[in-house]
Amino acid sequence: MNRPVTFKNSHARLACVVMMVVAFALEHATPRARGQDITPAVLLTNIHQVVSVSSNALRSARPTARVHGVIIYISNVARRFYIQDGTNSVQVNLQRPVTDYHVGQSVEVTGQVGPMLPQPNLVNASATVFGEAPLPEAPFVSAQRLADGEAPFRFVTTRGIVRDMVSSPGVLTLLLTYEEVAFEVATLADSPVLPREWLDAEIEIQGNSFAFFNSRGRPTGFRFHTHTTNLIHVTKPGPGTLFDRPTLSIAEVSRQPQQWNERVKITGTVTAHHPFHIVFVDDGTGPLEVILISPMAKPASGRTLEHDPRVWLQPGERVEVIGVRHNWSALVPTLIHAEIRRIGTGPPVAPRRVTIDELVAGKHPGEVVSVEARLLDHRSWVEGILHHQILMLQAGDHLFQATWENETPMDWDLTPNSYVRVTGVNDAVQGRFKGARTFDLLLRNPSDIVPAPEPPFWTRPQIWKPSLAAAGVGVVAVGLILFQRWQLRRLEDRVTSRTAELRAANEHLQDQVATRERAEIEVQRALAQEKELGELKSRFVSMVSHEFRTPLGIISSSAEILDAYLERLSVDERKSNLRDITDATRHMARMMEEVLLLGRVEAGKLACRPTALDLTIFGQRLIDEVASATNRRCSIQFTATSGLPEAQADEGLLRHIFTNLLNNASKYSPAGNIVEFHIEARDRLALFTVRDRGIGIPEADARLLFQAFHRGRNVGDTPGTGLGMMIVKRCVELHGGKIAFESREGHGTTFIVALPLFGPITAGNGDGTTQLFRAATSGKNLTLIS
Amino acid sequence: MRTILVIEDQPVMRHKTVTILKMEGYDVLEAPNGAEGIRLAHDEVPDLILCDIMMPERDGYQVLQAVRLNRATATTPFIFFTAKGEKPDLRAGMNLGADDYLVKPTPRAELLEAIEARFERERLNEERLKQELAKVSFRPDFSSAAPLVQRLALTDREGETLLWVAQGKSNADIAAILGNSEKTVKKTLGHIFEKLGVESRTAAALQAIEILAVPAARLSTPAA
Repeated sequence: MNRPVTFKNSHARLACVVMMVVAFALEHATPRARGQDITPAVLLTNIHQVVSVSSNALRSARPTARVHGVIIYISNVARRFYIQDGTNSVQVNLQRPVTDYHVGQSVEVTGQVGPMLPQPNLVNASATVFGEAPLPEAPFVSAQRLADGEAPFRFVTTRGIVRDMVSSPGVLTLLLTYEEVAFEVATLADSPVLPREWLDAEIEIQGNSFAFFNSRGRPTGFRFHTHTTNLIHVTKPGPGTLFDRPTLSIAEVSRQPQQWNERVKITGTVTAHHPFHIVFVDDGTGPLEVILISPMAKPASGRTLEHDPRVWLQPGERVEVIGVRHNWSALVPTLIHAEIRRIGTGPPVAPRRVTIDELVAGKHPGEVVSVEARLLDHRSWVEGILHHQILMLQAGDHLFQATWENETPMDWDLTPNSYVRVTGVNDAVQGRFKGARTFDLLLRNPSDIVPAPEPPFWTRPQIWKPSLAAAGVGVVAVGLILFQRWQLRRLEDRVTSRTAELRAANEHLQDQVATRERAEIEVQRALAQEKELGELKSRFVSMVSHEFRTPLGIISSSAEILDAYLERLSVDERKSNLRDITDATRHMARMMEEVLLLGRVEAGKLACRPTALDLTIFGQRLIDEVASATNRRCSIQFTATSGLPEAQADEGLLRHIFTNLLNNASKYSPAGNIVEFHIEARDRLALFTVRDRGIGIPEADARLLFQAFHRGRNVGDTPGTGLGMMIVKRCVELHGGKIAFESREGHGTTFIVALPLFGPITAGNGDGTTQLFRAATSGKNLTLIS
Repeated sequence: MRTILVIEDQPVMRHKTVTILKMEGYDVLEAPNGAEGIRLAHDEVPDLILCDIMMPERDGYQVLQAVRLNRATATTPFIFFTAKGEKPDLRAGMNLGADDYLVKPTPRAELLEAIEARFERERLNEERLKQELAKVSFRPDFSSAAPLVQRLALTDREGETLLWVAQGKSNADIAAILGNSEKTVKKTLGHIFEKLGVESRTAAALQAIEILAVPAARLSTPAA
């Protein structure tokens, strides 16, 4: 037992190393507060939480995370891999090299959350392997969406048509297009052989997209990576060759419908090459615009398909082109995603002589045309490696321009105001508005600008227009002077009569303005009211639906308990659950009735229709009904002064008001207590008093008593919807009356309602009723509500 | 026996939820408000917490934060109840460390599934880590808790408890072995976590094993 420890055995050495590593990892996985160390109070436990942390939050603290996931991709240039859990994935930067891990391992990663685009990553991380796990499902995401930065780092499926490919040791890179998006796919490959059979085939790949972002955080494109060619499947095979396919004429191609996938072949003669990838071609059956695909970067060592080196194409070169028939906004039939191959030279395409009117009308788009014009001015500048030269020309009344853009400048003899014949490709473009077209002549070589003989001088607009104008002016001038003299005499007569008319019109106008201003103020006020009402209504609706949710929850829960555990419940428990269901149903029914009633009141559907009513008989009947409805919980004493005159009242409204008040008085009093209901007459008013000795209304709840769903804080388990007092208040208002109450918590409540039943009834009796009311109840400490 | 704490202010709904959980064989604690819920979580260390969000005084988020700050409950699964209109605040809840949320009213099947899923995940984590531990080819000496008491400044009871935790025993097993209640075991674990500066039993176990580990050479010699 006291022998010294010997470390000759290699097992022992390994054990100590492992322990040190474990201790080291633990040390860093659970940081303790040590002076300036940040101790995060938050521990995130899944990837979803990690990527949801906002960049604002990361400015002040870096939470730690311990998450699980499957490795879906391992970067071969950094200590980094990507893990995915469900539909969330995150980039993990490790402290140790990644050679110990492979795709398809299930790992637990511990690390700090760091800020990164497009979502936070984990840094200073360590990972423990648990075993193998299947890769997550890879949903389809289109290239357009990946280019917009969607599904960052997630294991997804995407699709495209193979247009080009290169291989370098261990890596195969494909160029794909999907609709208008072109993107590269890189995959690890053992064989350096290029899969030519994939050319122009549609393939589906599972892997990860890595989007690029500019400094403002906007996505600018993406690159797709997959770690094995087994995840690439051909969904539609292609011809497998580049240029070995039937040749069509440009006219035939123009008749074809536009699409994104199939490339067709034409041959023709180049008429212009616009930097860097736009070429115009003509084969005698019509012009064609070709948009070349961006070439793939050639690897330092590796294989590529055979392409023509990209050089400037000259007019007259014969070429073969394959591309997809799809116009952009061009008026010329266009091939995109195109490849081009030189096959020789031929005679250049002869230009067509046209007039400026034809060009302005948008005719001959894409063709080589020539037109005579006057050279007014020119500009030239250098941008990067390109020399730009723009010539401004005038023909007839129209101004247009001709452009030269190339790596070398063109040395033309450009004398301002000289007359020239301009030749070039008519690059006509459809503008945003229907019928708006512009054109630009693309120059190709020095012979595209040659001096032309001046037209006869009188045909120049600068000469004949002013001359004609001058002659006309002279004739008109004399006539005018004579005419004016005659006019002057007549005008003087008119002026006097008009002045009088104007004065009258002005006054009328001022009146109109004043009226309109007043109307506008009214409209503003009405709108503000409407808006406030609308807000109140939507608040009410959300409150109602919230209130319904509780009884519904109780019903469904009780039913589920009865369904799942019936045999194990005692008879009492079963009865209790059923009772909960019936209580909740009754509660909902009552709420519904009251809400509907309130709705009718709000919509103005409930009107006050007074008829002759004997108040004494009404009161007697009412307390009988309430007593039986409340199971005689409290005894209700009814008193009325003798000799009550006949009243003019809406019995329905009175019923709503006093059924609610009497029910409440009974409900909120201890069983057996007395509730008093008294009616008397004062002048034109009928005064109704409901008094109880129950739990009373706490002072803090007094203000809110008549608000929707509000109940006193001392109601305990007594059932109620919280809408009764609101109904009472509305009905009192409808009847042109006032209501007030006096209460002391624990002692009881008294409600006094005053209704103008004994005189002329008008809803707007407001002030008069209030005065009478105050007089009738003077000396009492009451809270007047309406 | 798994313990679940239900924090919900509406008494009838709380009673229903508690009934369902008891029928399914869980031990249930209940609290009618946030303050009571925090107290019960601290004292009883439940295995899972169900908590309503909208409650007067302390709301669900405050409960969650308080629970997460206590080491003993820092990794306890926490599930929110929410009514439909509270979705934007769920982000706040998840960021604070909630594990899941259920929308009220919750059907019984969903409630039980969510709970089971949490427990299952815990179990799987424990399993995996145990397997990893088993792969390491050295054998710690579990005969005495003295090294733990000495090196980690634990009390005797804490040392014993940690010794069994390091051997992969569950709380119920340890309670049976030591003759204590499970609740006592959980509280002791809470103290152990504090002293060791960790938040999970496996982290504590690893620290214990580090101390108890014996070089393999020793195994071939008979105990002296």
